[in-house]
Amino acid sequence: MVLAMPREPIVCGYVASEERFPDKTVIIEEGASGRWIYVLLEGRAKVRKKSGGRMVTLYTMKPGAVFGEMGLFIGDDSLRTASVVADGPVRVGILDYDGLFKLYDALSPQLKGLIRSLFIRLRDTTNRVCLRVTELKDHQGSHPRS
Amino acid sequence: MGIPFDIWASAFDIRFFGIAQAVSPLYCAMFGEVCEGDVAFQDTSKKRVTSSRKIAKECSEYFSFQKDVSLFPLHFATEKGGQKRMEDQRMPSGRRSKDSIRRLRYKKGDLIMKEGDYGISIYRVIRGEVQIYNEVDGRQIPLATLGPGEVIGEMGFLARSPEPRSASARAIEDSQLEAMHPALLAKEYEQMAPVLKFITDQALKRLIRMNEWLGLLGLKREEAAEKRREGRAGCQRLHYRKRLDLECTYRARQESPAFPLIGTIRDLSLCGVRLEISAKNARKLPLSPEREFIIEAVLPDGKSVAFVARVVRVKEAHGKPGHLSAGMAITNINVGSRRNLGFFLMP
Repeated sequence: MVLAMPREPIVCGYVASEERFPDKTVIIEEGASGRWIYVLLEGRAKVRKKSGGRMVTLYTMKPGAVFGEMGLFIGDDSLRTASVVADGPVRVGILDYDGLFKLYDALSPQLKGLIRSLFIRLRDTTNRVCLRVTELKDHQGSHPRS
Repeated sequence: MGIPFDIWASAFDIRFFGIAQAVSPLYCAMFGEVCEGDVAFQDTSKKRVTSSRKIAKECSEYFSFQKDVSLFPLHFATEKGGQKRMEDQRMPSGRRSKDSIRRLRYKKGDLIMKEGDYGISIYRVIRGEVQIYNEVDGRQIPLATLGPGEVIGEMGFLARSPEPRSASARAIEDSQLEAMHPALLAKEYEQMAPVLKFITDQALKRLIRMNEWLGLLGLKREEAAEKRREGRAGCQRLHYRKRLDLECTYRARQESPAFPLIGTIRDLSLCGVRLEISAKNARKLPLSPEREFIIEAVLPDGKSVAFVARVVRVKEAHGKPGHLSAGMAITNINVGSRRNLGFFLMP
């Protein structure tokens, strides 16, 4: 069997198992608990976030993209911050969480703190983006352009 | 109080001597480098005054291709040290890297870093609370409050850019912070498991993208606010329009007779044209609404344009009896004509 390798074979070494999903499958659901980390091996997937009754599409991921990793780095049993939906049929790899956690845990507290704050900042900035997007859309809704 | 200084900028092999004075919270303990804050430098003739901020900027070109945080080429030493000490401290290594984590204490209200200053240290809050804020028109706009374990200044390190501090930080309680020299972390960061590095780099890219998006949304929000302020009175012209007195030819599109007639362009923009024709021509080729015409003209700058325009409204020409004036919308214009017209219409 010929596998279409993602651009980063680095991540492939940590793929514990693989799964295929048809189009529009919700791979990760926002607000749900879960700690699995995935890597997209084939196809595309959209990252979406609920905000003010709207759904904001943040970005589309290509093969090689890792998702669901925030919980590992922020590490307070946080719930999933966004949904990941298959955009066409996809093949994903599930990464070895414990292996990754061991690597991360072995870092110095300084570097851990730095990486953690990067992910916290990413989470907060994403939240602010969503808030602004919905705010802007709401304004456009109430003041239609003539 | 000023202290005598001796700076050696290795990128340029230049040495400066003079008097240095801290102008914002200064922290230059490590390796003789200015790790945080701004210093005003005055040379011995007291003529040229520079600042570490400026020097950092001058060095940034070197820095950007060097791509190594540990080799920031600015060294700072007081009279006591001299050249020898500076050379000793050029590269943090071995025993010294243990010293490169410093515990710093701040009293409530103390400034930790100042927006716009040059600083390379990464701080981790150990105890207390720190407020991050921007200053806009003298007002302080709080961005975040950080508690123990949280880190300040990681973006500059991860993005490898010697950008000035993008925000100020102030202790809002008696606080203790750990300041790290980036060189210490750079080594560990480079040696980190590739899989972690890959994931971190990806997160950084996403963060940079989100920041850009946020900036864009901020602009859009301002624009929207501006529009709301302007109100709905008066419509905004999207294209620049020029008044003209330009002879042109026009002929019906896909209809007979297709022979060209002579008309006058009265005004022209990228989306519309006002065409004035004589009543005689109008009888030959009626300008009825919705009808499309091919209009060709040579602009006063010598460039020619041709486009298709649809009649929107026809009325009698103002102040010119026997003439009709037609407001037309341009429905099709090729790239070349569009470019010529665009250049011509530029204010």
